[in-house]
Amino acid sequence: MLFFVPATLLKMANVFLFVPNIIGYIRIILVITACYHMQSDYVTASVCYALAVGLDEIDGYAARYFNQGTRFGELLDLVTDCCSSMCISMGLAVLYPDYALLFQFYSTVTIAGHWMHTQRMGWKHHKLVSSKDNWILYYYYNSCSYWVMFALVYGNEGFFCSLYLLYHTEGPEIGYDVGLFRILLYVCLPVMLIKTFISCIHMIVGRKVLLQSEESNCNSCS
Amino acid sequence: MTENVFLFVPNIIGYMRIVLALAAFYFMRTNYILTAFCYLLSGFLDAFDGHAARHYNQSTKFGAMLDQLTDRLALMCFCIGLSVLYPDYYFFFQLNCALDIASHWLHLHQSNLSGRMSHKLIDLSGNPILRIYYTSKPVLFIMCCGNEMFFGMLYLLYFAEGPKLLLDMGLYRLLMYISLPIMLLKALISLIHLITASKNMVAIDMAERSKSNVDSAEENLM
Repeated sequence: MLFFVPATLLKMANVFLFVPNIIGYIRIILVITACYHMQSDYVTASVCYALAVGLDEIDGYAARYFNQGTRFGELLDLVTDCCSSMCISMGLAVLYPDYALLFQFYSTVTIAGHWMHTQRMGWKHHKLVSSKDNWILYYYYNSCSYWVMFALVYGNEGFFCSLYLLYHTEGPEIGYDVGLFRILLYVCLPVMLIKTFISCIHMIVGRKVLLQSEESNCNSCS
Repeated sequence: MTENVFLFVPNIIGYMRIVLALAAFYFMRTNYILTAFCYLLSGFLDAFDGHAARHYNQSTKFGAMLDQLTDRLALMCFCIGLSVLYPDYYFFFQLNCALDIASHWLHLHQSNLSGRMSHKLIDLSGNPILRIYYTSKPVLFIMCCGNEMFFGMLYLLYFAEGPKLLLDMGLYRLLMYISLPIMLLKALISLIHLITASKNMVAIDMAERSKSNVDSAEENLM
């Protein structure tokens, strides 16, 4: 038994070097850099994190353009998203310790929801939710408007970014004596709540489906 | 025969573990004795749900997922709490949790996928050191306990040194130093799992891509 086979490794290097996966690695490095600077240099942290979020759009395009969509790439993308949400929650808990419980709740629900969803979808791409599935999740993944998905994802990230920036500065004043970041916070708050709700649905549906598949196994045994 | 999987004994133990962990997080900054008791008891019960599942023949996919997720998310929430107490070390907690979650997620997903492939994948039990980790129950127990104990002691040390037993050092500090190498070793093993799971997923991707290339080549010939 060998720990790894060098020849296979060379061939595998092709997939590891696919463009969307390289973008994925860059995103990971950017998020780690953002986290490293989170308590000391908020400008660097914000710029790195914003770039990482922006690249999230591009890796999807790259996968389609170069026909380099892979299961590895898809899971890498999803896990990077969830882990960066978790890291942001942890960093924000340090800045706003009185709200630590809320950050714990948010990151738990986000990770649990996506984890159960990927286990439930198994072999299939996590976005291929069929119409026979839960209607909320079906609408979420298949909504006719690309911009709805875009708004949900970026609104959610916008909420946490504003929360972070507000610790340091109110931002440029945009009329009515209110800073930009505070306005963004209130605009993005409902989006964050909707996305958290969707994660809860993921958890509930995932749990039910796992239980149903257990019961159907039991029935077919007896 | 329809058994209610929700009420299986190991799953009930699972729910108790979750409730105990939630209590721990709620009291984390206010009552350290209660927090430590609840969190350590929750971790201790982890040893029993597996036994109960085998004893009552109630092993389920749902139970396995519940167990795995509780482990990952309880540690993550505990680390969020620890970041609040030790804000200078938040980056270490972020890295540790991200590695823990990412490595287990990829490993789980890859092993689910590989069940459907006849493709030969990297078998880590071929490595003699890792084989001990997988097959020896006492070693696995010590590794998991040691890891949890490290974070538990870090928490307690914020409030007290513990009774002085040996070497003129408080018990909590002594236990923290003893469990530190275990925590580091577990992190190293997680990293190995992450790399291996990535390689296996890429191997599955490559097999799929070459198969679809062969299929489309055959179609072109016809």
